Amino acid sequence: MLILTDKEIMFEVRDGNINKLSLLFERYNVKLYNYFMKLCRNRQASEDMVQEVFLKLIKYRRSYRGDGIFTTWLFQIAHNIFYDYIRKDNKNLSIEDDNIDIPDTDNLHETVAEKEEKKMIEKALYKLKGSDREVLVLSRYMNMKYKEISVMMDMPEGTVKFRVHQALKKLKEVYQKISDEV
Amino acid sequence: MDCDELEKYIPDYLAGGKDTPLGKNLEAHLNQCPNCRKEVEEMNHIWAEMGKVPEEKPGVELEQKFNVMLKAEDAKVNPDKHKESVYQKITGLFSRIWPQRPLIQFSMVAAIFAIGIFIGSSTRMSQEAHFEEVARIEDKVQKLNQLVMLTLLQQDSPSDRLKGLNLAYSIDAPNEKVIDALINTLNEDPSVNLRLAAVDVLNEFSGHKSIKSKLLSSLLKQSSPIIQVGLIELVVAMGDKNAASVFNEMLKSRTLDKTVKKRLLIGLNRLQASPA
Repeated sequence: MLILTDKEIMFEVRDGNINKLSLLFERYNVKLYNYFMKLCRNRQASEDMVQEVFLKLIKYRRSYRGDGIFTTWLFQIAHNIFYDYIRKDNKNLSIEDDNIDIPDTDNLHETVAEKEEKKMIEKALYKLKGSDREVLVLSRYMNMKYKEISVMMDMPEGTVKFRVHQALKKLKEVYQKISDEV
Repeated sequence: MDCDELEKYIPDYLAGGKDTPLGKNLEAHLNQCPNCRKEVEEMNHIWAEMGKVPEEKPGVELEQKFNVMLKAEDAKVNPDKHKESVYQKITGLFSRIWPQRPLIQFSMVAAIFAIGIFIGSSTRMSQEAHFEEVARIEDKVQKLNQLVMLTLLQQDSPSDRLKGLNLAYSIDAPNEKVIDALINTLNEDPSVNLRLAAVDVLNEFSGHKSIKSKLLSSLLKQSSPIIQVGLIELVVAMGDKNAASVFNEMLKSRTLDKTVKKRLLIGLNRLQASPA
């Protein structure tokens, strides 16, 4: 089976072969879902926003020229959709609720302590302000290089690295505070 | 490098830059500066802990809604593709009565043929000729199923490929092309779910003469732990003693997932214990 690159698929979609978008959906729907979930912790909103990303890919397909890395463009769209969502409902990005639902994993090989540690790091992540959380989500979970994040967020690469470092420092402080409370 | 400069390079270091000249430079500073070393160790720990947070899966409705949206958008972009001729309207009406799924369609065609043949044979043919005729029809249905399955596995849409895999369950005696197509799906499909489904289907054909060697070759190519575990279990269930050498080869890998390692060791014990 011939495996098309992201750009090749997007060129097909641009040229009217809309059904090819299902290949990009298969590749990226889970990643996008996790991006939105880690930013807003709302399953329904995250699913709606994933849908919105693919709708926008169809809407903007004619302007696609294949410049740069496809995922940078994809997450730029996702980033804009997310901030529209925040602005529309005036939402606060910090998730302060101590009882936010973080599901248990079904990994039988983990000890209770390991599971608790995972939950604490997630709780700490959700206590960060939105812009800090986003750079960490993009670099750590979406595996984007700092150069890609800089293009996506339209800021110098050095600024991205500085923000990642600052966000990690804050995450460490919050995590320490949560660990001490346990 | 001094302590102020170090801050700029920590993100690169954490994101995989340990073996670069920059990483080595940074480590040289850390060896001399306990404060910086402590900070980097703490950052490293947080970075590692973040990596352990599992990926979450969206609900099945997301894909369903996506498919509905895609169809609607395709109809807007390609209206001619969706315009119905009179002929299509009539056949569309028929298709609402006739089942859509190929497996059920073929089953109904085969059943109608079989009924027709039975009625004919009960008045004209000898019993032996009747059974021969039924066997010929069953053989044709099987060949058609194999052809449809191979076609579906080549489609771009993951749900079509899944239909192809499900159709494989209706095949009693797969030919080499079918086995190779299933192995290809196991090795190459971009969807982990479909690759897992291919493992389940191959389990049904575990008696096929060439399957054991093909599964072992596939196991060596896999990098996804979930697929590796599925294949290990299948190979052990088949009692293939040749698997032991492959398992031992895999155990030498330093990057092997610990769950996979555990299953390999359990698998080796079971293979040794099973009769030759």
